[in-house]
Amino acid sequence: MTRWEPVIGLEVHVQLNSSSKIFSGAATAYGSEPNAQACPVSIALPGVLPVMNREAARLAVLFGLGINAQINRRSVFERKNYFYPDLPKGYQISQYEHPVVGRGSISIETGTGRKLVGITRAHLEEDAGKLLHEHLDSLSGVDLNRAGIPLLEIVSEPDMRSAREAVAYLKKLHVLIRYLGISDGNMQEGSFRCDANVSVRPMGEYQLGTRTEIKNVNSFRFVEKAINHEISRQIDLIEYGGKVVQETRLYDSDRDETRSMRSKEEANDYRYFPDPDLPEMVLDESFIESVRQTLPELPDGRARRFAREMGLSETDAEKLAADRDTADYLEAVCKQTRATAKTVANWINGELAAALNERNIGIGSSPVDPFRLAALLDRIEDGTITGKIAKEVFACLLESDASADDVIQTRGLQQITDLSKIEQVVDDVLAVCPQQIEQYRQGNLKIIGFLVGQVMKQTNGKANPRKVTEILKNRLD
Amino acid sequence: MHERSLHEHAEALRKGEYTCTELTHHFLDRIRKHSDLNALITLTEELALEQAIRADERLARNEAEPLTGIPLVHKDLFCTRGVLTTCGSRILENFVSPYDATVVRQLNQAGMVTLGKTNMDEFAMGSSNENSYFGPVANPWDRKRVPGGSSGGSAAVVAARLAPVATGTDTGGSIRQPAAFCGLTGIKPSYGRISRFGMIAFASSLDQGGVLANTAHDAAAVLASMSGFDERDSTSLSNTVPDYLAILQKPLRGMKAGLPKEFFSAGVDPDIQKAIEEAVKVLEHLGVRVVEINLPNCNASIPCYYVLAPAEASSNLARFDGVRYGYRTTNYTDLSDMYETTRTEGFGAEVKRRIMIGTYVLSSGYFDAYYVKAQKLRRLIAQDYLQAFEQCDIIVGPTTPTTAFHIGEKSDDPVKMYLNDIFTSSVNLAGLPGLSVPAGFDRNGLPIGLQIIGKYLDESSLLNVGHQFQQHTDWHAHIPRDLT
Amino acid sequence: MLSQKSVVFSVSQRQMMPDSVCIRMTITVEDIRHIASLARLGANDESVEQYAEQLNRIMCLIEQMNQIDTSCVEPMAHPQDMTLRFRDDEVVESDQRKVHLALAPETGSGLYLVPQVIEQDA
Repeated sequence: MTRWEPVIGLEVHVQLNSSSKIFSGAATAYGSEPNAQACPVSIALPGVLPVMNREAARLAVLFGLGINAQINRRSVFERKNYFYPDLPKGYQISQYEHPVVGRGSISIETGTGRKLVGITRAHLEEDAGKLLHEHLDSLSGVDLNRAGIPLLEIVSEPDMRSAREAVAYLKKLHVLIRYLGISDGNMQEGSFRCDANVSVRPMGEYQLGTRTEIKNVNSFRFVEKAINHEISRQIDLIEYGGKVVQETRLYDSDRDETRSMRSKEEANDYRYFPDPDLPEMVLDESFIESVRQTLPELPDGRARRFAREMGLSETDAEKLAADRDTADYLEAVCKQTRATAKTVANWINGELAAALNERNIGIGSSPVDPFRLAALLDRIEDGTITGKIAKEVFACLLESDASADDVIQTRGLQQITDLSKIEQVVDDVLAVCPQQIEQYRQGNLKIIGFLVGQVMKQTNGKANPRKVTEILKNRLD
Repeated sequence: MHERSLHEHAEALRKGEYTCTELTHHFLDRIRKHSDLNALITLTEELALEQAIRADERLARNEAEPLTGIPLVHKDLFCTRGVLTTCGSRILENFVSPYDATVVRQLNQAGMVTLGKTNMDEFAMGSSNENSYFGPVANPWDRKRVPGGSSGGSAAVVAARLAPVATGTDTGGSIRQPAAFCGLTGIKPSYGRISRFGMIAFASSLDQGGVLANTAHDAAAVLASMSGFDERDSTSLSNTVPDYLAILQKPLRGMKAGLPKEFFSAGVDPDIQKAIEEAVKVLEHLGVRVVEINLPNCNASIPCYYVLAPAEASSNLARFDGVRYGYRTTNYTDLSDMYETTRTEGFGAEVKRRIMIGTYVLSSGYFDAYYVKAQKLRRLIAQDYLQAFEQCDIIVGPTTPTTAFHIGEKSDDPVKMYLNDIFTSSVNLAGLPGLSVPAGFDRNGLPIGLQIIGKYLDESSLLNVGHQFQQHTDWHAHIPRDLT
Repeated sequence: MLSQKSVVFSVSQRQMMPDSVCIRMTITVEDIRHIASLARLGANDESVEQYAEQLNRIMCLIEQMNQIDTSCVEPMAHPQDMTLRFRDDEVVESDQRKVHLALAPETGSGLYLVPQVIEQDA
């Protein structure tokens, strides 16, 4: 029986987050009234002309630098000609033969280690409008608010060999574009859209099989399901003597299947040619250098640094570095506190993450800023409060602007440092627990935990559990 | 009154000899009286009188600029806010532009008065004005003949003295050829000199706005107000615009004019050949030295032009789809049918023919053989001019191979029609400025045009030579017999 | 697909004149139908024939380009070799949809309306 190897390449359209459109001064905000952001250029009035947005070029270059790609000093906008109601000019302005970003790569984690996925190119183009079909009897409606929003189309090499790898690549790309701040990456709103090219070939074969393109799969989960479905469809087809046809397929998430759209290869001929309204885009060294200055430290490097400098585990470091705000938060706290990075990481991943989740907000707008958290952790470190009390203090920090010290003071949460006070409570507890004392002396040493618990309860958690254990052992042995 | 030049009007308005409102009424009456020329698609009487009142106020306050109060007409492919802008096409028969073209805005600000929008070959495709949805325009010199095209309506208006000046556009000769056919001075400046924003595109890398007037002096004044940088056009140039009027008086002594051998070939009408030779003698008399030059690749300018212009047009005209503005057919079954029927009914024969050629030369398998080949030829043609201008300051020759032909004479044969652009289209391919000035009449009393081509951005020399030539000839002062 | 059969043209003395003998059968009726559909122009049997005849004559004129060797020449996309100018990223357009929608043949709920689009790849 033949074993089959899937071959997958991805094309991702990222909406760049400029304030205005790529070729006009219309707004790009999401969710405004239909056609309210459709300026004369967006609706292609006769006589209007495109003028390129510098920010779109800057963001494209920033991406290119972020993946160590070649930045092409000269790139050309061309016209891709076809008729469709969401395409007001009858052509899309896009880069074709000469894209702004050339070859680069992204490293991904697979089940069996790291792998480099090649980026063939990334080019600038304009988005199309939106078609609406609901509530319109035998008619379609055209909303051109989205027409002209800058897109970066990122094309990968066919380097992925499983749906999981494809998803790993997509997630990595998603982290990267958000890190670079070139897009909000919101998949529901269409800021990050993916087309997958899928083919299969017998294991060991060099020649690529015929591929199909799955259009617009807009969640990580569906990408995985759609690709897996398409792989088995192609294998079944070939094994039963059929042939894969080069075509575009649409993924139906309700039925978990892909189905054929109109076979486009025959009918379409896009007649690309350089847009005479837009001269060649020439980027000089000083422009590229100035963009390079704004390049932030990227997730991979940052994770390595976290592991090296802070002694975090690889898993923790990667998890925390993957989100720019979280990583910034971590570093800010570590700078202020004597607590170890590991402790800080545990707090961020534990208490803080839970609190943010509950409130459904990002770490960037956390009600407890890094300074207040750092101060809190210092109080654990210097023995003022116990870890358990710290959680209580943290809950107060979430609800008010008070400092950790204020909360500890006003609520009297300091640890009991006076040993005689603890001894008094220990004695009180032992007086009412003769059974447990008996068990301990018969060899059930674990029972001491129960006794410690009783003491902690009596002191409202303010006794140092280590000290309590010490005193208990002294009394019992 | 209408026989006066733009300058004489400006002078009279300032002196208070007559008001701008009176002048405007005079021209509006003349336009109505000579409506048989079919030179205008829209008369903007209300707008004109409103602008005239404002101009009179400015004149009264002594705040007038040189062009304040001067009436003009715009070619109907310049978008004019609140005014029908048809491009000579059925597909825009109902299009009232919501904005002004940059050129229109500039001339409005200068205080000019818009009398109307002129007839033209549909989407500026043509050399005879027979390709207009609104019917052909008659040549004021002989109403059985064409005024040239595509700015034929603009040319007829100025030749018939229905307005002192008109805007036009020139993609392969569309200002210079009608100027020649109607006995006018017409200038197409360098590509990038005048904003294309709001000028409905035919072939974006060739289109350039310009002026049709009675004299180089008048043309210089209006050109100055139309030129300059526009941030809304990515191909607009930021170079400063020289003072064209100041340069007109410069003596020509020491200037060198190149005569391209290729422009004096056997295909040129003998009357034109003779008139151009006479004109060259006048220039020599004015101190211009004449040298023979070669433009070897300009022979290929027509085929090159008829690849590039239709290719760009096929894409530029894709936006006319009956969805957002303009004509939509009433007779369709589905989306695809709506597109096809709208465009089939909305465009005329020549426009459709050029869309077909353009689509063909860009299509898969033919792109390199035609489109890329033509782009390479374009570079060779541009280089021919660069080399020629190492030996001379201006290039002179005939504007057209024939004078105005009869309406219907060439309309069945597109190829014959295309050859009208033989001396003009290479100038657009190279992006250079070109001027046509009247240089005589043929055996039938039809005007002949002398073409003067300049270095990139050197409109000044063209206007200077044109003006000096007109100080020593009176061809520009002739007026068609029944229109005086 | 378009077909290219024999391309034969003769060089006459007057290169630009249309009378030069040009025997070519480049564009077929099927080609015309294909081009017309790309350009969204209707083409019935009669107009297809007419287009084929006229386009072939025009292509004869265009083929004269081949008389000039361009093998070492860079294509020229713009009349002067300009470079792209950038605009600052500022929102300068206001909401004009009332004005714009008023220009359209058919609108509703703030949308441009077209005959129903059957979802297919563009």
